[in-house]
Amino acid sequence: MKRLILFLFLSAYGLLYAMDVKSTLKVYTKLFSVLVPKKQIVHVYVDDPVYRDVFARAENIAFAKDIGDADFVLVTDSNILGQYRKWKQTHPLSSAILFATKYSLLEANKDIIGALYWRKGRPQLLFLSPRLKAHHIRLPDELSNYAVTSL
Amino acid sequence: MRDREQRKQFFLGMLAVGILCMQMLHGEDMDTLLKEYKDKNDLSQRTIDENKGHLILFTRDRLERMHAKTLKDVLKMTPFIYYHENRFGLPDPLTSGAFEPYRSNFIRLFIDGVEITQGWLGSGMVLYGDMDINFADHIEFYYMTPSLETSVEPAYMTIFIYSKEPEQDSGTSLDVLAGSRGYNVQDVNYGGKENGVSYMLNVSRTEEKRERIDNGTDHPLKRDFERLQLMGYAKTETQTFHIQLMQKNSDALAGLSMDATPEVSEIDYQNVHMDYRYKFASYWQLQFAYDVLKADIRMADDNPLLYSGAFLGNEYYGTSKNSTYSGELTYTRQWGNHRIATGIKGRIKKLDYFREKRVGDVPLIFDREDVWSVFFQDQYHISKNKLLNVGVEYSRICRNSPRANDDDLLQIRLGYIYSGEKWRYKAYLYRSMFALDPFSTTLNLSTFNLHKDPHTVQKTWGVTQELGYEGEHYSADVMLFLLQDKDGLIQNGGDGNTKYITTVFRYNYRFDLENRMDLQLYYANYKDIFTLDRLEDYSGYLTFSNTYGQFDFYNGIVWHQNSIDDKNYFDLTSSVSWNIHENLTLTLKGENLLDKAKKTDLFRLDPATGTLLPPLKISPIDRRVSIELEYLF
Repeated sequence: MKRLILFLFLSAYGLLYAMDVKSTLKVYTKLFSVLVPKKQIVHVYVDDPVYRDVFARAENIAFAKDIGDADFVLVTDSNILGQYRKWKQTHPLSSAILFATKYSLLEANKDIIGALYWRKGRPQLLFLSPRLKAHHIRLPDELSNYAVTSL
Repeated sequence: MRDREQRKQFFLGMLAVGILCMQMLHGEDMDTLLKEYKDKNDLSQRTIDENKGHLILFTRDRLERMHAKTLKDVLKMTPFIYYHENRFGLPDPLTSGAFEPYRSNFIRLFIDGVEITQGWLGSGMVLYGDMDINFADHIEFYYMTPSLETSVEPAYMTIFIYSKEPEQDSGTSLDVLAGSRGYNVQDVNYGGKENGVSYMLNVSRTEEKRERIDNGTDHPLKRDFERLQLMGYAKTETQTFHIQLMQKNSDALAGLSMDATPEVSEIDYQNVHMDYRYKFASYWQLQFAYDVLKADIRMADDNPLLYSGAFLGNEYYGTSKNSTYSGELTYTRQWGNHRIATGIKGRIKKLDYFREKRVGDVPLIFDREDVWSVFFQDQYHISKNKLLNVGVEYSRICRNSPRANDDDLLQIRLGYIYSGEKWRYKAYLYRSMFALDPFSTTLNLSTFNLHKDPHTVQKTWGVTQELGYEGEHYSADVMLFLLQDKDGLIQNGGDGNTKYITTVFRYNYRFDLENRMDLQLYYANYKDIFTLDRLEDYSGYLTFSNTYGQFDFYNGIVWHQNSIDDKNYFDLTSSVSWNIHENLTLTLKGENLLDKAKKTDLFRLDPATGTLLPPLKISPIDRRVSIELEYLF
């Protein structure tokens, strides 16, 4: 069946990158259950059309119009970081969770608590313990292997 | 009232299913989810087309683990062809080691779905067969003519190289490498995405210092080269533009020397490839490509040279330029259970000039070849997991030569695919026809028995099958090919009717996300090939990829044996990478560590008597230790 889907998918194949919806949603749903556990519907602020296309298929995810409305901000490029910094100046007590899709973004901003990114063909999941602590997030044991104290 | 009750029950039912799904999801640990995320988001998942036929895939992860730096590193593990070089030191996997100029015209090379061709010399393999692949994300090999949507000219094997995407490789990577004998490489890769445009640029410089080949004189044969390579693309959802440039200055091994004792043997190449693709009106695709190759050839010997000796004597200092223009218009649409693809393709190969230092422009009676093709293909879903595939392509090759007639080629392809949750099965019937590359066609090579009749095209019939099984931690498959060549174009003796059976068995075991083992075994039995009644070929490899903390290890051995000398050849490759930091990796790699990699014969003629001298045994794989530093930012 999965290969049948592949046959059909190729007929609609565009030239730009697209993500696999099912496996990507599984990973992010798991992350939401840990990072924003009390929310049945997670409000996500995301700008990148590739991720929007994926999250639009999930029933437990809603798109936040502004960073201020978001439980979870997915930082896919430096523009989002710029928007966040601007917003933070007027809302210094913000508690939105920032999560990145690139290691360089995780390195560049101390408000980002972790990242799921690609390195040489392998997905890497990383959390920074001190940053999690600042948000009062405690990782379950099964994710503790993915936490580091510094970059 | 009843409606409300039914809605309530439906809602509660959906809620229960939702909670169950959530529990199942929570039940899956992150390692399992990441493994699935990796497999499903691997870029190869977007380009693999099961309908194309029998696939050998090298994913990004695997290429990284192997530390494959050139296409040669991958070809040497690809069954059926492996990697060989011809008497000019050029990548030519199908070479017999005899005097034909080029034999791998039937292996076709595509980058991001567009063929790289050298026009006059045929396949792009001639220059790109050992290209730097740091720009590449993954590589797919398909046997015989794959889906007719891609090929302009028929192919025995098709290689698809796909570039990295900025979503997984944004930013810059710097890679410097130094190794034995002064071998060194510098590579920069930059990718990004802005305003809906993805782009990537890769520049590499290679100074290849290779082992010398003792030819019994004080001047051993050389095959060193310096190469500057640029690959780039920009693409949107509907348009793509590619550019590739290559400058390669090389020592050309034996070159045109009959007895492999040249006084001078050097060739410099300059190549440009550009292509543009446009998808429009949902079902249409338009594509243009332009390839140009300039060659500066310098050959001298103390005896008359091969091919040109009767005309030019002992020296040949010449330049040439040839251009290729390709275009295609294809239409692809799903109608019910049918996926129909049809289109027209054209290619014009022109020899722009051919000059020799002493005689000036060399008048040739053959300077143009046009290829026109039309194809139709239907992929019909019999049921959810069964597919029938029917394809027909007609090509006409028009030549402006009295020496070689125009040719009509007909390709037929019938396929059946079953794809279950765990099992898969494929069977194909092929009828393929091949013609010689223009350069070989223009030479009068009857002296070397390259083809008995220049008006003849080769026909290959093939019945191929593949059975595969996918387990939780492992996968296994076996391929069985029955093939027959009729009127083989490059015979080196015999009548050109070669029958052969080949089998490939592959087994892969994944210990976890970071550790895996790969095994491959290959057997081929040829009847009437070259000057042999029978040839049996055995090969295989066993590789291990492991990670311990910050260290990645790769160990692999490739084995070859054939019935010509029943000698075992082993190519051992080992590497260890230290991931010092997320952005910085140091790698130590050894290739052909046992110095026992497969060797091929380079045939020699005694110019005085015209008899064959004992062939030189040459391995295309150098023994080398290298150290590499990679920085990402």
